[in-house]
Amino acid sequence: MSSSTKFLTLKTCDDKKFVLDEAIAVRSQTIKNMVEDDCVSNVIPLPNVDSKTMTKVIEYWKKHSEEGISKDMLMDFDKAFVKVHHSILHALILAANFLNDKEMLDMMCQEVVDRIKGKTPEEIRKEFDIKNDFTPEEEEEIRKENAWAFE
Amino acid sequence: MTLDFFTRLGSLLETICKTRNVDDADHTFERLPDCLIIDILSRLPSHSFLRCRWVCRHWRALLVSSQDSFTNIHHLSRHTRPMFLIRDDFVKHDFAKHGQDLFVYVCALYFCPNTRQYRILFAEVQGTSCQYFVHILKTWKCKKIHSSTSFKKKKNLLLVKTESWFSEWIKKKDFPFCKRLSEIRIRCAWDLKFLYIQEGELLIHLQADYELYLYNLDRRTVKQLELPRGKMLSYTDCKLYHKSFLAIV
Repeated sequence: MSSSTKFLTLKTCDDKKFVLDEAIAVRSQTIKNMVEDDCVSNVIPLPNVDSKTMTKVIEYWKKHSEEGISKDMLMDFDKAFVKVHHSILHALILAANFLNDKEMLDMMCQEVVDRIKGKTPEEIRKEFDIKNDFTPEEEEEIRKENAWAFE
Repeated sequence: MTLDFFTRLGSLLETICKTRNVDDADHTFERLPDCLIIDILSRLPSHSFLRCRWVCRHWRALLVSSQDSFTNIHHLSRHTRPMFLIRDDFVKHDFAKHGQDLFVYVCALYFCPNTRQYRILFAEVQGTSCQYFVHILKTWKCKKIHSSTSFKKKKNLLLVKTESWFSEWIKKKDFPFCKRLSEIRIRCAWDLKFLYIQEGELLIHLQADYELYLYNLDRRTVKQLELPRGKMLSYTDCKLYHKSFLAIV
């Protein structure tokens, strides 16, 4: 690391502050833009991210910025990282989207895709706690529309 | 009294907020921005993608509204440049025997992300002049895109050309029904119909057998679609149902 390591302070929506090496924080395109446009005063507010989620994000960023870490180790880390409850996954997707970290967003979305893949609608609802909000009439209509699939 | 009122109001608000939070947590995936949901769902293989229409109203609205172009969303999210699906080494169709000195070269099947269409690009050569056409699969129409000097083309030839090119191309591949093809000796291109394309999977209808096949461009595998109760299908049926076929597969 260069001697002029700069630190940024990030403030989440629940008023927790995180001090982070700028080199790591700029993994977020959003923060990077702010830094480049010189509109960073003291604290960068992150109104869409809570501290719990931010801790996870930073954990991910730090791991991925570690020097000399092997690809295999990173893959193992990623694998473990995404194995969380869907509500956390959801928060992480929103955060990655807001922070504009494409690599992370990609990884999280892929995890959701893997969880949906090959599941029936009922199983998908169960996996993500999605309410079945179709009326019985609508269900019947869907059934008809896809009569082929149910035969 | 006033103080009491405010405390109660405060706790009431707290309860309301709490309940809302719990509620939100319950339906988190419906709360994701639409563009993210589409992004996620569009990464799914086609059958899973179609199934997602039946999960909840919100997803259904998102997917059905884009149903017409759902294949395209699929590709759009990943491709910004025309994507070549099949590139042909300039297969030559000689139409000279028709008393015309006309050569047709079919060049490629590709997906154009700007217009969201699958197209086939081919060239016609007569003497030293050359003209290029694109055949748009969705509308089965041809459009001339470039020509040095234009010359007359035989009517109706274009449509047949695409189909005959396709059956030619298929004959070269090692399909399980290739044998069958040589048996029935394709009289004309109409025996083999190219119905639909999605996510690199071609839906093919073999007229003689009334059977449907799915060809995967990436893996170069072919799969016969099993039809319910041994139903036989005519080409017109296929056209109506081609989308729900994919849901079954």
